[in-house]
Amino acid sequence: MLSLNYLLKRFFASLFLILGTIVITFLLINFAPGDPALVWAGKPRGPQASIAIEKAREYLGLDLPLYTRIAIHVYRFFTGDWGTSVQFKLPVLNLVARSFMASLELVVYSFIIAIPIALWLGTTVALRRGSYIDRLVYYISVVFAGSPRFMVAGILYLILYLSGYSFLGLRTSPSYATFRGLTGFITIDSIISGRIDVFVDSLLRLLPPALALSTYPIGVLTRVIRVSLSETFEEEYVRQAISLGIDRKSIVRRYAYPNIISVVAQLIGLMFSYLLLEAMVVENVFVREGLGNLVSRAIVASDFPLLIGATVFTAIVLIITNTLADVIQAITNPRVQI
Amino acid sequence: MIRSIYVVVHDILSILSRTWRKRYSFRIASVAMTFVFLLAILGPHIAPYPRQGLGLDVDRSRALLPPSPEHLLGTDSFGRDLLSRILFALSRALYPSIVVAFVSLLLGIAIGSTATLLPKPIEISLSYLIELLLALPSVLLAALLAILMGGTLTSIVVALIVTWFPWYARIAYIQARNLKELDFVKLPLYYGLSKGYVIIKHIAPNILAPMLIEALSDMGSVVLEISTITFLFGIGITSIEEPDLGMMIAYSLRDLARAPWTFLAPSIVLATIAIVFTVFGEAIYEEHHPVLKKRWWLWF
Repeated sequence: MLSLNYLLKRFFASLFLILGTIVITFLLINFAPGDPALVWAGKPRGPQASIAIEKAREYLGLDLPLYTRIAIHVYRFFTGDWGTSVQFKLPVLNLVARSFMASLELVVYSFIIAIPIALWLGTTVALRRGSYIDRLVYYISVVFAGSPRFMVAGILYLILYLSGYSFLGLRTSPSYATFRGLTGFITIDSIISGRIDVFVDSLLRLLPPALALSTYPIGVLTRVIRVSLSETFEEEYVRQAISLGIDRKSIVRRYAYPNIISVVAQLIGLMFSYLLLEAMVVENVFVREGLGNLVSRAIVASDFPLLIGATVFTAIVLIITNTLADVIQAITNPRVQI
Repeated sequence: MIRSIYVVVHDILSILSRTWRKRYSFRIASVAMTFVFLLAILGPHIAPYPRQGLGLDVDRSRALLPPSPEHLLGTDSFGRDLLSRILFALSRALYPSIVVAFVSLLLGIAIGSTATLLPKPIEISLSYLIELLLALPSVLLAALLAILMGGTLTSIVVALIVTWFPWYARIAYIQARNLKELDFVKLPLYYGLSKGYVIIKHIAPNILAPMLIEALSDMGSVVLEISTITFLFGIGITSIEEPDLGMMIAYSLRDLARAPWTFLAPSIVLATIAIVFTVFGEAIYEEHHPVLKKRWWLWF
């Protein structure tokens, strides 16, 4: 049931969770082994190190009481001052947002590939429960969902490389490297600014990693759609429709599909977090810019502000997607009791 | 105490044997799982080239040899026998995942079952805390802890425990909440027995058996996650000589076109582990447990 009460409750709960993640990361800095200022400055060495540590001490306000510092930390996160990256000497928020959009583009495209395939496979199988196709699709989906993403991505890379596919690696070809857009999705930005050549190039570079990434949602979604569709087929109203002699295709489309929207939405919300991590792996194999690349360079330099920013940013996005999924579930499934 | 241990073991054995009788895929999966564990224990002793497996011997003249009777899976870019490397890496991959799965299981059961008997405000705040921990991305948390703790395997294990135990806490909480309404939990509380006693004696033994199996089948995902982290960031190992599945794959990517076997062998091993554990768990849920049947809900 969707009600204003429920929406408000979810909204404040997610706000509370976001606050919680920010506070937890602050506690991590604060109770880390060693000097918090040293950690925040990225464990500097060399003659100028004391200056960096002094700057960090000033920024963190280490002589203030703890609750004041937590309040300042939370205030800074909400006003967009996330500190400066040690490695890149740039504001953390900009860096994280840019890499995150690169990873998000991959995730979104893999969902665009996966959802129709999984819906088709799941429906086909649910209508033929117990047949050979059912078994075959079951094992395929287990292999798809279970195999490590670097294996899938590596094999795809190998096949494309051997077949002479020239659009491997990077987000766009180096000749378009200066191309910048508003949203961070190169495929969308290029359409907005009317650069068809950039669009085609970035899409051809995006598709192989998105295909490799989409094996996971295909595997998981197919199985879940199969189970929940076959549960729906046992319901009274579907049986009634069958007994009235309505065409099988329209029964599936008009009576069964609306019933599984809530399940699929919930699942996509949950899968989102996992896919973001898998996207980092696939990016690594296909040598693309993105969150994984950013984080591994941040680790080498002990770039603490950047890592904190990346963790909090990802956590916030995950909380928001899960809340959205819950709301969609409440809209589509009026029977859910809250 | 002995009696409750007996009850738990009996429950587990009966679940396993019933599934064994009914499911063909379960038999294959459990045999393969035993095989994986055996290989992990015996691996270092049966490896054909133990010194190469540990990364002590490096022979660049024999680099990237294809599979042959001498080297069953070929050699890597440093001229080391891949089979020995994988055998050494297996035990290194399985031990931390056992620790992660069972420590987070115990933590989860302790928190989940205690939460049901605590006062309402504490119960609600605990459930919010669990939801909060679930939102933290495990890979990034591992990276953070690696900076703080010096990039050892411990930092990965801690990060994974922090992100895995909320799932178990949630399952335990759901099950314990159902048990709370039953007479054998209510009556001792009315008699005035302490809540801790009731939890240990009456609640924990009843939810332990299915959750132990859950933890066992989750170990495949934990192995995968650990090797994903080492693959991405190279943390968790002390030197590049050390055998580790994630690092082996990360290094083999450079020779992907020239020597695909260096990439395929370790990743197929990883895939087999992950798939076998998944099939093992799934057969049991489908056969038995109504709570765990909707397992996709708890996958992540």
